[in-house]
Amino acid sequence: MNEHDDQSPAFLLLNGLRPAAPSADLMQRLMAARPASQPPQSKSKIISFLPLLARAAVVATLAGTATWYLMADKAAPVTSPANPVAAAAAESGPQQSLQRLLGMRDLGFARDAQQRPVRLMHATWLDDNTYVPSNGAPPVREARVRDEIVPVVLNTY
Amino acid sequence: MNLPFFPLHEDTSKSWESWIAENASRFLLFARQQTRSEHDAEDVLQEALVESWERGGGRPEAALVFATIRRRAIDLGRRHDRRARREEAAAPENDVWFDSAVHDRETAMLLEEAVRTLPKDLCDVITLKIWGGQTFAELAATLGIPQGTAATRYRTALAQLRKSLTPVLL
Repeated sequence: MNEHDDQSPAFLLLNGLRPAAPSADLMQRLMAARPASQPPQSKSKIISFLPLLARAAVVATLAGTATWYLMADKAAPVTSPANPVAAAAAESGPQQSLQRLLGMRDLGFARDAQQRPVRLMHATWLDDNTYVPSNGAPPVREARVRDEIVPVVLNTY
Repeated sequence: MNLPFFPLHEDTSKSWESWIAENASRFLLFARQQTRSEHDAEDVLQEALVESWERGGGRPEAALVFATIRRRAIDLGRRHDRRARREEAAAPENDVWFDSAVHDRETAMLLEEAVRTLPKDLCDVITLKIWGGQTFAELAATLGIPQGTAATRYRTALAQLRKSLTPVLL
């Protein structure tokens, strides 16, 4: 439909109306509601979400590495463990540690101290550690599943 | 050399005030049509204006404001409980949608009544097109409908208004 062909009598009548002006009270209220000057926020939620995920991944990696080194420090054989993998790990040095993100699950929303919405994500990691026994035996791998709750602050617009 | 000093907040303030003064009427009309009471319309209008201004980093496009008003009105409607709806249904509505510098008061009231009694989907299109100054593409985006549907609804609304305004047109 051509947008400039509105010459019907009904249109001409309606076009003679003007939206009623807001009351003085409402105008005063709207004027007072002026937002504080701030730079435009053009970042999308996805973009602002990604660095947080990356940070969470780094934290998880560091935590896994720290756990791995702590385990290595406690590698002194005190008794002979029943689990052969644990026994091998206890007598081995660390070679490699990988953390794989198996999945993320949305748990819901909460509010932080500044009343901003915070999304709580449940991350499931697979920690895959490889040890090299000191006696020259083949490397030993140990894998475990680890759960982590990741708070993600969402920007509001 | 002395350079003139223009404080940023004063410029922003003037820009906001002039924008409000120029556009508040048409945004308020749409907010009234999207809400169940004058009180809700004013709340939705204020929130939408502030949000649109912040999102646009200054004076926003009218289409963004109309879309924000509609979204906030829908959100508000979902939050309302049944009790509030009953209270609003019982409350008298004394808001007037239009002023008229062209028609006499009686004609203006007849026209307003005709617009008010349109089905909501037709009323939205007519309002955004005639008083919102939106193109079919813009109002289609605001209402989340295809552009062809918007044009069809506009024609249907004009046809219905032509029927109900027969006493005025004759």
